[in-house]
Amino acid sequence: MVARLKSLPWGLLGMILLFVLLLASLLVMGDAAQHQARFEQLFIWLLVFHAGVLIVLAGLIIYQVVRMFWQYRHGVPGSRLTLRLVGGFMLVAVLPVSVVYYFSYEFLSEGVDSWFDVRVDSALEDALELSRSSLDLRVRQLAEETQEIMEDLEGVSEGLMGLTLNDYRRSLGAQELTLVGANNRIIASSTDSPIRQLPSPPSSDILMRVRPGQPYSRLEPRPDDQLVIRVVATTASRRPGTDNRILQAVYPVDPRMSALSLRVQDAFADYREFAYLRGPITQGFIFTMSLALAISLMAALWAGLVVARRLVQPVSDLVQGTRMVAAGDYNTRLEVRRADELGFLVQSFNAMTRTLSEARNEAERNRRLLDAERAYLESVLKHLRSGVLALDGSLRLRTANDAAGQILECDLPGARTRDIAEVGRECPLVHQFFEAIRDPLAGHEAEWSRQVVVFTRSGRKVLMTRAVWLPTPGSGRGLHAIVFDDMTEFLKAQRDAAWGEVARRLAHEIKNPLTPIQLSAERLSRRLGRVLEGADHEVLERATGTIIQQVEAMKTLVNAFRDYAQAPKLELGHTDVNQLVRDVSELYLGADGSSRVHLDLGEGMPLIRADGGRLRQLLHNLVRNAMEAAEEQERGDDLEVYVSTDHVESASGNWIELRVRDNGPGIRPELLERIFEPYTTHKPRGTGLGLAVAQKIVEEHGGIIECHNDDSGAGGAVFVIRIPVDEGGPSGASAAEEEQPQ
Amino acid sequence: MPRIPWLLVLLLVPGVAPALEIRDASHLWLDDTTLLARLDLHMNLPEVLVDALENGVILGFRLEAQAEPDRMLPGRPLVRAENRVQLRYYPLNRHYLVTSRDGERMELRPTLGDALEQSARRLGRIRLEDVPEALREAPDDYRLNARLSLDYTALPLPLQLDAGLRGELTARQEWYGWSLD
Repeated sequence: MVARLKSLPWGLLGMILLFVLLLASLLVMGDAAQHQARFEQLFIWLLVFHAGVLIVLAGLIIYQVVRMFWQYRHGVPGSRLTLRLVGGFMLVAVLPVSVVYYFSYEFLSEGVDSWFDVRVDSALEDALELSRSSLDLRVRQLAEETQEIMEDLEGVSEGLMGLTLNDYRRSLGAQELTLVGANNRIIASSTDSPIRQLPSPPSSDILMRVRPGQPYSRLEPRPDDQLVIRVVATTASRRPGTDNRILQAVYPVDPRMSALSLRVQDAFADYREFAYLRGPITQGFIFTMSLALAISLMAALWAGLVVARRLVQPVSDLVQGTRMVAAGDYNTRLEVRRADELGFLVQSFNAMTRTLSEARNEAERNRRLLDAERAYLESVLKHLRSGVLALDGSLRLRTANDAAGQILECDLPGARTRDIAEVGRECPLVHQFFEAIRDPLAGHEAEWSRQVVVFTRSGRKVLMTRAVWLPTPGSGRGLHAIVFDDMTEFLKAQRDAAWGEVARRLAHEIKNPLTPIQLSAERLSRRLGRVLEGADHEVLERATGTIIQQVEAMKTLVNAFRDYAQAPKLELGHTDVNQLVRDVSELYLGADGSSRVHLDLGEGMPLIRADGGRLRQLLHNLVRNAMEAAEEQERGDDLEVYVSTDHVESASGNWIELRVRDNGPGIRPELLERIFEPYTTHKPRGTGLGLAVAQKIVEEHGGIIECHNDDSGAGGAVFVIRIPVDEGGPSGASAAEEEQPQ
Repeated sequence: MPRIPWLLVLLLVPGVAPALEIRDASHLWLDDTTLLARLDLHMNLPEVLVDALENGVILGFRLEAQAEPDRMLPGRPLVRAENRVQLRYYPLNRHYLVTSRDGERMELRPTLGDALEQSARRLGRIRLEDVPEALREAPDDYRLNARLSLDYTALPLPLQLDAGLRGELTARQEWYGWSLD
């Protein structure tokens, strides 16, 4: 019920009611103007009503206009169109009303004056003057006759005065004759009225006027619309001691004469009053007309405002709705207020937004599905231990999972959309990795795989990398999907296991027969040495000596394999590398105190967390390897070994660098690439395990070892060992003081 | 003719009033049921009304009197009375005619001054009937208030509108009061 009441067009109903009231009031005013009495009763109320309506309309119009301009200034949808429509309405309303008002004003101003004719005015004046002259003549005649009677009465005694007055009254046709003596005493009286026996004495004003002897005669009206002539005559007594007498006579005017005279007087008075009031009448008409036109104009303006607003409302709704749709609100629905073309437009808009909304919802559903798929894929990638990268054609990072970031030690998931080269400047491993795969990335292989080795703070990493190039339609280079695994541990374990197995079998298969061979050779030497002599004895000794010597060599080889295969558990501790180098170098002092091992130790070296015994073995292996190489070249006398230490801090890590260089002939280039593999040696009597063990020791400490020939002119091989510094441990001399070197 | 709308209209604009004043209440008589008063009135007309009078407009004057308690006591006035006279120009003999309220008494005066004087005399004699017992027992507690005014509602409507809108007339008149001691 309340909703139905709210849905009613109250503004329109109010406007219709106001117009009906205005129309009724104008009709009533027009009717009242025809009837003076009704006009006087209603005009003020109508005036007040119209003034009230005028004020209400003015208020409504001001409110609407202020609201319209406010909306215009604030860019409310439809305000410009409303302003234009209202302007048009105002023009249409004001122009005709102004024209009508102008001509009506002229008509009233000139027309009312034309009602008054000079000839009518003169005729009335003349008629009044004629009546006035006629009556004046009659007044004067009666005054003279009354004065004569007064003189005749001087000799009449008071006893006969009543009869005498009666005779005179009848003869003159008077209504009343009254004789008044001294002290206003009525001496005698005669009247023609049988019911009015008491005479009416002259009024005090008349008496005051006639006492000095001045006569009085005047035409007087009576309440019964008749005229009478009152004459008062006096005779001043010539005789001393007698009183003055006053005779008052009241004569009726001929009824026809009286009626005509009064009618002329009334017509004259009405005409004069009407002429006198023509200015106010004209102004009243103009005022009423102005009021009616002002109300009509304001009503038209207000109606124009309301109609314009109602006309523009659907357009405003459409503009507002369009803005909301443009802002992404596809659920906008407009109220269909009309059944015309504008209503059809609103319905079409609603249909369009409904379609858009459904399409948007469908797109939203698809997007959610895609998001779910992406989330699923990301979850899979997140839990993959393999690194996964996706690069677009311009080598910008599109996707990277956590494992990729962990392997390459870089926040790759946070570096999406960045150029991979730019990321490489911040992450050295990424730089190394992409330098290694730059060529296949730039190539045309749709699918390729590489083993990439990068060097990290904790050592080298071997990354097994596979990539697929996914061509994208319409673009030159598509997406590169790169998957890589850190195979370092796997390869190491695999290699260790393989070599361990080899070593174990060698030890088992070779070492067991060596002891009987050695014991048999010694037994042969002891028994046959006593029997043989000369050259045979010499041959025997040499042969058994060779057997025993080679068996010893075989044992040494087997022990080396054993050492390689049996990876002892590291006993890590804070180790001063400089002290360790100094300890090892002392083992190579000559009898004269000279040494062929020259030290160049860095200052302020930090401690490293390492197994001191294994590092000593490493250093022995390298120094001995250098000496044995020199001896093999028969340059043992002038061999020099240089051992230097240094602390290297760079973007790629914090290292202790141990460099062992000799002045020997260097390593043949063909051996350089596999110098650390078992059984790789350039010495005729080498086991080929020294450097393999050295590499193993270095890798056990998370370091790297590399080898190259010195190209500075001095010749010789250079072994560079980098072992990471334990950044959480003590550093420098203080730590060295706290802990004994191992 | 309703008065309230006219008061609303006429109060909108300031105006000039006829010089109507009550100078004195010289004679007061109180008998068993009636309070008689003779008020000394002075009447003078502005030019617009004199002009209207001589052009046939009939002017009406009214004297209102009421006896009410002299203290600030609540309650309505105890007794009221009103006198009215009409004044018009009489072209037949170029006199001014003063007519009583009931039209029974008609008096001609040769000049406007005489006519106004006669009107004042007529209006000034006022008679308040049915005086209550309380007033007769303690007349000191009562006052006689009187107001003399031009009856605007008796004017022709165009003159009312014109005079009212131009502010030449106003209905506002003062009350005069006397003690009844």
